[in-house]
Amino acid sequence: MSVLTYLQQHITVLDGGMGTLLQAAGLGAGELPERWNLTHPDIITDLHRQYYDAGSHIVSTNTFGANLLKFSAAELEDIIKAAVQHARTAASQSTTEGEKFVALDIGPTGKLLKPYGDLDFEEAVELFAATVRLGVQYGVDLILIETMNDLYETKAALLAAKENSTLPVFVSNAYGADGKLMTGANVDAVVALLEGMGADAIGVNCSLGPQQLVPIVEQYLARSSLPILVQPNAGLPEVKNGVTVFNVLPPSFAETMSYLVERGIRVVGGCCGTTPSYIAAVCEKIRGKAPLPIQPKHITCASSYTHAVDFTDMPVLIGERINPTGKKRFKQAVREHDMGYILNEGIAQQQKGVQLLDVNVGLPEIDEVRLLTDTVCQLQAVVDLPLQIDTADPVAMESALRRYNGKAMVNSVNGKAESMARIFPLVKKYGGLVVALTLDENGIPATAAERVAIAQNILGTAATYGIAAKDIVFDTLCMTVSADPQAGNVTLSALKTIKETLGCHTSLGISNVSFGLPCREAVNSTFFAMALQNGLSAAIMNPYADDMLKTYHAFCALTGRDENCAGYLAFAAQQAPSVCADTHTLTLQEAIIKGLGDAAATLTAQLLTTTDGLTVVQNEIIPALDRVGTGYEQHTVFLPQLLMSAEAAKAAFGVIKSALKNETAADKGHVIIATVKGDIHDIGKNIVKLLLENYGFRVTDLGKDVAPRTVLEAVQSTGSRLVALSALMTTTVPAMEETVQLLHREAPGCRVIVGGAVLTADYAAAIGADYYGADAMEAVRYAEKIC
Amino acid sequence: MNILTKTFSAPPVDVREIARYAGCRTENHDIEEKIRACVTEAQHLFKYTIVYTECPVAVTGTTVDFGVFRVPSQSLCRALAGCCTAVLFAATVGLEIDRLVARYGITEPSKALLLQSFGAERIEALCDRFGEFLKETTGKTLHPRFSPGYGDCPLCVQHDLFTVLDCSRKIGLSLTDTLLMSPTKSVTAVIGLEG
Repeated sequence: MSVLTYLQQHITVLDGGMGTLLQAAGLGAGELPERWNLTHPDIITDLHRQYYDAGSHIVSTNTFGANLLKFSAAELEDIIKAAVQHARTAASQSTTEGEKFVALDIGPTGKLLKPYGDLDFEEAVELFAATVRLGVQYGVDLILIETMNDLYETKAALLAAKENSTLPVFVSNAYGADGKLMTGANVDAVVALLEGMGADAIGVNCSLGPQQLVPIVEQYLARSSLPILVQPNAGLPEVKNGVTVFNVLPPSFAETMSYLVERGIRVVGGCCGTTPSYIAAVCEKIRGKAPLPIQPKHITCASSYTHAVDFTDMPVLIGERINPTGKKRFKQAVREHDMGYILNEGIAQQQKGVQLLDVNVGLPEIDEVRLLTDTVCQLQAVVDLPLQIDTADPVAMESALRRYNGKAMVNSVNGKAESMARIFPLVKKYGGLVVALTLDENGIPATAAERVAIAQNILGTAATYGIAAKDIVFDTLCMTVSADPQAGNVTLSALKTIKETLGCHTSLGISNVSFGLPCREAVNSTFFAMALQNGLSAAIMNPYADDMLKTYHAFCALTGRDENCAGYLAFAAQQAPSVCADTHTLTLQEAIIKGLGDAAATLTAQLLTTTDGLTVVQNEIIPALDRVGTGYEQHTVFLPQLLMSAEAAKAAFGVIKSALKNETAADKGHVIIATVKGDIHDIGKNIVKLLLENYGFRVTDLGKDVAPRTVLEAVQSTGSRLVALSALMTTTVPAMEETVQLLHREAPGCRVIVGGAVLTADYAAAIGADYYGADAMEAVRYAEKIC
Repeated sequence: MNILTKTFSAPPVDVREIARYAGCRTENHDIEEKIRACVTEAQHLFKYTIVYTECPVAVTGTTVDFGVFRVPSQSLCRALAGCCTAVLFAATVGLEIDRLVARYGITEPSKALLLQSFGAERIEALCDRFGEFLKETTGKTLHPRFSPGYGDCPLCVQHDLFTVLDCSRKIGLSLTDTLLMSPTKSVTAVIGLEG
């Protein structure tokens, strides 16, 4: 019988702790327990046998940390082979009746993935894959991924298991007392990702005792349509008489586990501090209990690395601004790989209150696979909203979905057989909430009935891939009303039918409706209100359009979706014009010196009504910057003030740039800036970048952890004559030296300035740098000399 | 060997100290106002967790032997002079502050600087709080804490500390190949216990 067949009918019992028992048997601190499979086979086999004897149906191999980071390929194979053998031997030695399965145990690598650690996602997948392949080769019955405290690493492990085996995969995460993983994911986010990718059972282990896990388990039971597994610690460790003991004993452990079985969990076991006697107590307590049926939950959601956004009765706002279509500045950013600009668009939209972000960076002349993937990864370092990945290129879609940390929205599939054949397998493999456009090989139907028919066809085809209706959101296509007076009516009629008769959620790109018309805001916001009234679940919209937000909040208040109008009142309070009282008494120079960004922008706009932009720069902004810069050099102005002034100046420059669209702004030259390979700190780099921009330099920011060759390529493609490199630690200075050497060899006309906490002028000279910048102002002064 | 984890409540915030970390050499009312706004925005993001163990100290020549690993370092020998035992620990205030700093690094670098300084002040305050806790619970005299990289102590001692304390699993703290810690607002150190 397979473990999944068994699980359908029975409460299934896992084993308990291993580490605690091995320590009791003499495993030293810092010694690798997996090696005991080779050195102490009898002890390992006996521990497994004790668990089977106690009533475990599944014993997990002693391979928690068995991966290529800790062992050579040859030793890893020996360890996994032996580990599986020990579990099999134990199963045959055990005298108890009942099914006996062997699970390949996989724990975390101990490394944190990028962007906050240095383990690349694909490297992580490959590490887990090597372990999985060996487990499969030596004949385990299932894979147990456990104690994962980071969602992204969990995804890597699950992906590796799915790509390298057809075995059932159980996934268990370790939560903190705050109900989140160490890297911030809540239960909703974890469940969304794991269900989306096709785990067979999911749940929680380690960190906490059984009682403390109850609220987290309840959330799993409420969210998930999968069998839930629970392996708590034996409470919290305490030191008594110099020995670690756990404060929950078998009877009360079994009591809580029995309660959880009554609540609906399907797989039980233990983690740190639990022993065969805990498992025996649990088996005794739950004997004869029939498992509760598992109810499908039908939750439609997308998720990020922290949380999920549910599609419910409350309409969802999806920000549309990360998209180059019709936006000159955005196109420039995409072409120049100006990630700062793109990320800013994401952060600004979140501040406007959208719950998801659409991400589209498609332009004919760019490498969309790379740029889309980069954009998704970098957005996920700074914006915790779920993303809607928007591309017509299935290769770019797969690349971005693979790297995405969460369950993304997929924009889009349509009724064409080819589209479904390309997109549905991706949704099945990586999980996703897919936007389905009601068009097919014959184009966009003119009638609502035909669009609904396409929707039905899409649902039927999705089902053959194992994709449920809850994971499809229909877009009934908003056409331009100026071209077809019935366009709005048809869209809304199809929308209403799909919502009411097919029971599916819907989404629309609102702005399309008003193309070609003047005063588009009125058309958009009115159509938005009509769509909401017809059951629209989500709108892809411009969050800077006040009328759209007004409509949204008013609609929610008017339809009983906003208790006490609280949301509306909060929104209205933000609508009051912000008062910049200071602008009456301040000059622009003073505003910049004091670091008042809003005032600086307002005053610049006022000055531009009587003066030209270049004069404002020459007479107001530059003198203010010089005063602050000199003050900083003389230690009368400190770093935070210098930065605040720089930001105020940037705000003033922004106003001037948008006013003189056709004039070229001052350009003193091009600087490439980066934090070197292996270094993940970038605050110093960001400070230098801001000041360089202030002083009129064009800056290409390559980010952090940048390989020497990437810097060289940027120099070669831009012709820049100055590179600024930052490193924080002595351990990353060698990477800086390597970069400097490479640049001097391959791009001899280019100078390199270096800076960072551990550097000194002597150290900089020793690694061959052209100049050492002790602080940001020195970097500016040097750039002025060189460029 | 007993490896324990402990979560502390938030230590009191010292705004002047944050200003000092941000590079303010004298009192500055405007900056301190801005820091207070950062404190309000970010203070709920911190976790205050520590993993630690007490181990024996044996000094031979210029090498310290903790039983679980050895460190060749004269500076560390001096720091532990007179101690029979020491506490090895790793402390972190969590990843969320790093995320917030990265976010403001894009939109408002001055605020990123202040939040970064807030994080530095928090991790120091946590280490101080842990010191008080050790003093109360052990009744012994504490030597000043000593971290890998101080004096002649090699930074690669981080590997040993991370292995023994199981930092990644216990408190979500990891080490890069270049020996940087993530979350960045984290400290590993040794505290000698005397008496």
